[in-house]
Amino acid sequence: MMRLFSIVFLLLLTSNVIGQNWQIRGVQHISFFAEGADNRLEGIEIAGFYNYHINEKTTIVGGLAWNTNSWANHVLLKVGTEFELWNKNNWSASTQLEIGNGIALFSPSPLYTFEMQGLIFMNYHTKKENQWGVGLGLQNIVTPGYANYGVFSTANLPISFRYQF
Amino acid sequence: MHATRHYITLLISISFLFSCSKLPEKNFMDDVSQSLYETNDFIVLSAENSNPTTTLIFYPGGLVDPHSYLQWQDKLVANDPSLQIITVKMPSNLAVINSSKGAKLFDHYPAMDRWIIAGHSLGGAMATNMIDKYPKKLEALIYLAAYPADDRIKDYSGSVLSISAENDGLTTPGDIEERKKDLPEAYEMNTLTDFPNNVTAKTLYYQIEGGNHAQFGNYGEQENDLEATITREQQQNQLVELIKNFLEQL
Repeated sequence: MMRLFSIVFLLLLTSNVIGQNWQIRGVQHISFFAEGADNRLEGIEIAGFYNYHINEKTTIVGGLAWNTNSWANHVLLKVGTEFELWNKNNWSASTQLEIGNGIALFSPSPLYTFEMQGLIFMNYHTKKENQWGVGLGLQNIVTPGYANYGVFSTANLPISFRYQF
Repeated sequence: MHATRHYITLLISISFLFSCSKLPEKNFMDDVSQSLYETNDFIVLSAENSNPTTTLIFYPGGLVDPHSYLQWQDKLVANDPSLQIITVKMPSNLAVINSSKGAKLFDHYPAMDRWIIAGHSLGGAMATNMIDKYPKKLEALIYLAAYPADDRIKDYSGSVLSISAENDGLTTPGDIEERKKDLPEAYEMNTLTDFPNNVTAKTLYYQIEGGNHAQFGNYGEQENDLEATITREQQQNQLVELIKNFLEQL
């Protein structure tokens, strides 16, 4: 499975696409436990996307992500879309919706994992194609096969930092 | 020296991030007979309809799924209605990433009478950090095939129980022997009931004959471990009996 992801990643590197964006996300989780609740860092996600601009406002994104949560590390192949909501001078706002399919890294065999994520970004453009962005959103990760053991679905609040070029 | 150690820890952590966690051998959830409550952060196990006064915080071994220890934990709480065991789920199943996570439980259970911490392998080594930070709050530390990285808790005034296994290929009997200098005064136990009159400020050592590293949990075999000459059930029955007897001494 890891070999398949490597091949897909190499194909992405060699394809004729418009731009890339790299994101690091801190994934916050609101946990309710006993009488109290606490807000803590659930894990992190590192994602690399290639962007294909359909028109001035809409972009198709696809890439690879590695993330971790309370039950495992995951490697995911992601696709999604980004839509520009607003822009003025060097600033813009956009929304990115993505779904991921991949594996939770377990032995003796990995488990299928599905992820949905939606973020709203505020971007600062240093050049036409170069921009820094900060995004906030919602994330749901599900590893159905882990239901045999324990909590297998979690909803989180990702905070994303990205650079696009 | 400290900076070097931190860099090495960081590098090891990064390599572990892409490693696979070991799942339990089979679905043990059906075998759990006591009260089980699970969140994203913790697995809470206690006897049915009990009102626990003692909490044992448990740190799993590195890259081991936290459910892998439920079978023997279930037997332990079934024997002791005053006890609850809370297994802490670690990021990436590595206690080294957040070794103080168990401290959150102190706020969740402010009325708890007694706190004890235990850990297997890497989890045990990281439980040492909790003793270092909360030596008064935590009355005892239980190592399962584990030892501290340094002598930070040598002057700990609580009790330490070190349970090891004869055929452990990862935490070898030699490792346990070598680290005795970093723990409070040693006391060798010959049987499961061979306790000194006073267990405080002492480290009680018990070696399970014929046991190995992986049989402290139910996650299958482990690379570099040696072959056990007793069954997993026999090893875990001794483990349960020993912890039960130890708790009665506190």
